[in-house]
Amino acid sequence: MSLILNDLAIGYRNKLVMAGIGGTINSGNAVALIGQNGAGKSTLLRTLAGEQSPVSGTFVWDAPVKRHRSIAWLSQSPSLRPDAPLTVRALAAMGLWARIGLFGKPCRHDQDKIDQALDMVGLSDLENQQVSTLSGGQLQRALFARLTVQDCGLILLDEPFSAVDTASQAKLLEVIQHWVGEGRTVIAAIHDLDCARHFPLWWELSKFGAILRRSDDKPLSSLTQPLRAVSGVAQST
Amino acid sequence: MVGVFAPFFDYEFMTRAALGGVALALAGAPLGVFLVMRRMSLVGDAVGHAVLPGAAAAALLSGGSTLLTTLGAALTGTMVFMTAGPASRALRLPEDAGFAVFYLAALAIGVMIASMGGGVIDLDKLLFGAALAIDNTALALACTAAIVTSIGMALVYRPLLIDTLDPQFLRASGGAKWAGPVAQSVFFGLLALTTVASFHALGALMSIGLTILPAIAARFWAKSVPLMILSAAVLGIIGVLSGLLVSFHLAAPVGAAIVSCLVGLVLASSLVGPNQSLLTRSLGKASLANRAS
Repeated sequence: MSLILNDLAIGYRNKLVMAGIGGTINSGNAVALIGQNGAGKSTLLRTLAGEQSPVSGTFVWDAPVKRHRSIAWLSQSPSLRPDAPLTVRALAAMGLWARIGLFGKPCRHDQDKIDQALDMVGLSDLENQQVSTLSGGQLQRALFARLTVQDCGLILLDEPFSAVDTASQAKLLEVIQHWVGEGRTVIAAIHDLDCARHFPLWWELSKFGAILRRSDDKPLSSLTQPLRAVSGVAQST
Repeated sequence: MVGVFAPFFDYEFMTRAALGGVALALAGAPLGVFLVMRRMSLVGDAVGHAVLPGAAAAALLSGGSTLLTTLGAALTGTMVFMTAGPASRALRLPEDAGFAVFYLAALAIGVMIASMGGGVIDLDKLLFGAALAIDNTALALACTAAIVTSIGMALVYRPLLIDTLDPQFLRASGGAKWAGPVAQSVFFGLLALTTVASFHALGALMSIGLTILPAIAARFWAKSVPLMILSAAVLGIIGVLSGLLVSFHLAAPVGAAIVSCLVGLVLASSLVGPNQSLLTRSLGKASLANRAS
């Protein structure tokens, strides 16, 4: 029923970014990963997404329901081609790929799911528009619609608000709350502490390790101060 | 008017050339659309050039057998394609620079091999093709390419499309891990097959033209990928048939006539096509200005 990290060390072939990450995040939580540039936020998300292997240690995503076993990841720089000849609806429908595979046909339920996802991100009116014509905020909302259609239990977001305006940010936060309300777990790397304030849990990565705490534990200003040295760190929620 | 098309019915060699050309246009359409979307138009061109040494060597050794020339072409085309990318990365060269070195080398070696034959090998035919002299083997190869490519692309269409438009999503979406690499391998295998099949009609220098040019023109006619493929097939067939007629009536070299007609279609499409052509863009600007005023 949770994400369990066992003494995880993350990094690249020649560079260890962080070691000794351990702990549990219960499902149905939204965690803001915070920390300075280079602290390892993106590396941790890429590792959890399976884009790179842990240097050592393991993690287990124990989904509460079978259909939530998969992990979805939206990177800071999505690889979607800016000139992709796709409509907004077709982009959202791409989220069905893992389930319908090579030859499966989307059923009525899938079409409804796409409708709901587009409605949730406020793009129903633009469903037939080409993604190449969308603004940065609209594109991010379309990518959130695709994440919704993917129907994963653990959703990893790397700087999801970095290129969006305030209105889109509010809409995206609503979507995240909706996901959490459905029992999904969201982990988002966020450099802006004002954005992080909207998340109930913070997980700060620093050179001392990782610390998980509730956002109301301490005043926000304390986050800019060096944290006490704790290794092996994340406490269970 | 009907008389213009009479050569296709009156002369067997024109009928065969038209059949072969239509088959190659059908094979090339989906491949070209994906090559253009993947921004690999010039890589496809490089592979087209790279078939020359194998084709020349096989033609020299076999006395011009179509089957062996085809196999030789496939061998060096595939070798260059498989080695140019990794070699570029190993030498830390930009990938297009690596392809440039390889295909120029292949072209030079091919011309030297062909010249060693002392006139036995028709270098013009290897470089520019002989669409009007297409034999049964080459025609069968073109038809095979059309059928196999259509089936193969239908099988890998979905993962190939996602891999082309958003490769990161394909890897991390929880779908089958093998889908992306398999789709790519099938795609490049079909590209090699079609390039080699086109080689007999258009030669090493222009064989990729029938794949790439209709796909470029199709972008001005369609917004979605399936419609782009359909447009590319129709435009490719129009280009081939008009090229053959131009060649017949004006006694022009056939490969050059086909490629010229295809280039003409690209230009016409970019001017008046319904999607992002100069005409629609200027109409869009004018209507925006009217609304603003």
